[in-house]
Amino acid sequence: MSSRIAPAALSSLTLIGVALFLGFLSGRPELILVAVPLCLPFLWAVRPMGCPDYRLSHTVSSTRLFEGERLAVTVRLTSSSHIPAIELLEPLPPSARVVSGANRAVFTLWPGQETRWHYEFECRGRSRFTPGTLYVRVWEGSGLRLYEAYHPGTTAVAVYPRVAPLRHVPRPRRTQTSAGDYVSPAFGEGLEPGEIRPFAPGDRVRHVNWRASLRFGKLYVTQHHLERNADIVLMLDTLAQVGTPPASSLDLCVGAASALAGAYLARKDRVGLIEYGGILRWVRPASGRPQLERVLNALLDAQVMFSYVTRDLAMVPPRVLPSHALVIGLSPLLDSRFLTALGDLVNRGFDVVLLSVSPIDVTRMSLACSPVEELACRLWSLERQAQLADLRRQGLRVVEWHPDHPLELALEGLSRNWRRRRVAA
Amino acid sequence: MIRATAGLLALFAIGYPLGMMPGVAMALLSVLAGTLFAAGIIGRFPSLVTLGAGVAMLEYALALLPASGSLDLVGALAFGVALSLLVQTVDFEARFRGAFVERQTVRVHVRKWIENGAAAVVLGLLLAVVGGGGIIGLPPPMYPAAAALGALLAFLGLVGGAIRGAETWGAGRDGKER
Repeated sequence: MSSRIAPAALSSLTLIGVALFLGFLSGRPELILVAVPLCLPFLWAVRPMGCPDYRLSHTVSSTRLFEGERLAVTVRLTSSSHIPAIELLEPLPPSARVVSGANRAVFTLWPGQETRWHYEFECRGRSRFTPGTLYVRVWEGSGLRLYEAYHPGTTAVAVYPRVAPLRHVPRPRRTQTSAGDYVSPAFGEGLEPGEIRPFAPGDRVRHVNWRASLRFGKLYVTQHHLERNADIVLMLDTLAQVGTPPASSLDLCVGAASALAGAYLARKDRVGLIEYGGILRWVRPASGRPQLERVLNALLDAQVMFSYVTRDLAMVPPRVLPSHALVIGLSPLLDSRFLTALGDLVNRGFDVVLLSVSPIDVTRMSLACSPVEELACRLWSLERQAQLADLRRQGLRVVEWHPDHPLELALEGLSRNWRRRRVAA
Repeated sequence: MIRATAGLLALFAIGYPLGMMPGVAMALLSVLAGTLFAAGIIGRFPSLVTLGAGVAMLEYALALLPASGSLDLVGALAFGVALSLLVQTVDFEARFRGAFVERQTVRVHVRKWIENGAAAVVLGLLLAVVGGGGIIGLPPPMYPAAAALGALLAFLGLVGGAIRGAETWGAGRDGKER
């Protein structure tokens, strides 16, 4: 704990100096008397004051929460001596917003008295931080001297990206071998009826299609499609971003990735993640709730790491990028290297969907609206439309997501297009 | 409430010398001090209040010049207590700006200010009695040296204030990590 003179002492010292100067210059004792009340707090301040003896404990309501949730902080404060003013400040992460109470408070403590300080803040963006870091100032009664201390926090809190519920997600074209929710082209034990064929020895009686059998005069059975799961690989572009957290293009991509991961895992699919940026990071595809946690943990730490080195997807092991997997690219399309990587996957026969967050909308949100900027955004929008049209011509399934619209709406468009193509085929 | 009190103290600090010697020059000084006080109290800038107090003190010194040799004991003590309380209240407001301040803390500080004021009056009276109407018994040839000492103190206070003004504490004004 360090001690120092407060700025108020210097203000008082200045005024005392002015009073003495004017008093002796004019020879008037009144001005010397004016300095007396200003000198008095110094008499209190020079008294020996022992190092303040206080104890504080810091607790938070939760150590793991989702974006938009509130974290309640409680600080208990006790002292064995009288403290006229103890000031506490807990710095918050940039994405936090105090919703109840204040993260800075001043209390007076009497010997043995326990004071509780309670406040809540909302975590608006994904982040990992350590609450409980407290800056403490103990003010001496006159306000001319203070002690400062720093208490580092120990409990880490993780704010995960919100898993928004999705009803419509891009459908994989190919399925895997485990049971799932997708109707496979292969026949076997399933619920979805397929073609009918003549009865063969070994067929179950319950599969006999009685209507067709009566019509054709011999036994026919209904074949059923297998219900299988799929491998989904979410490929996140961390090469570049626009906007400011918690509403940057990367944050929006992360939000979309968490929503897609949640939706696919709920359908028993295996979901993996590849972070394509300056550093290539990945999470192996797997299913179940623990996998959602693994993916969310990886998304929590996702950040833009620019590099001139282009990472080759050939370095990604096949178990991370399994064949027949549906690859969903999430990108604002600011760096052409991501498109090159997606093109590489298309050429290798992967089923690829590109979900592109509109960087123009994100930029508009973070800029003050002016005619020049509006014109620039419109020109950028035209360029982007041409780029997306070009990608569609190359056979890539592309969805553009405007952040002011729900993600569900953008994905619904993709599902509709997919159904139309399926019917046409 | 504290700012309203500070406003009243500021009114007294600029009004008292003007009442002693009304005039254009004094009125101009009053306006200057008043502007500085108002800006300091509204914006919670103690440095502006200190500057205003300096101007008010100059105004008081000018008002005392044509006065007779009799000592204005009550006025001087009241003026000093007003300035002292003004500086302390605005400093309190600025220190804890944006923070939750417990009522008990305000009560403790108000009590402290009252105690300081009362003690200052007693000490001032004592000094006046001891000094016998002179400047605490100091011989006149020493006045220039004492004035120079005062000027030095004022200069040190100003320099120290300017250096300390740039210091930050843990986080920005918005309480966010930097």
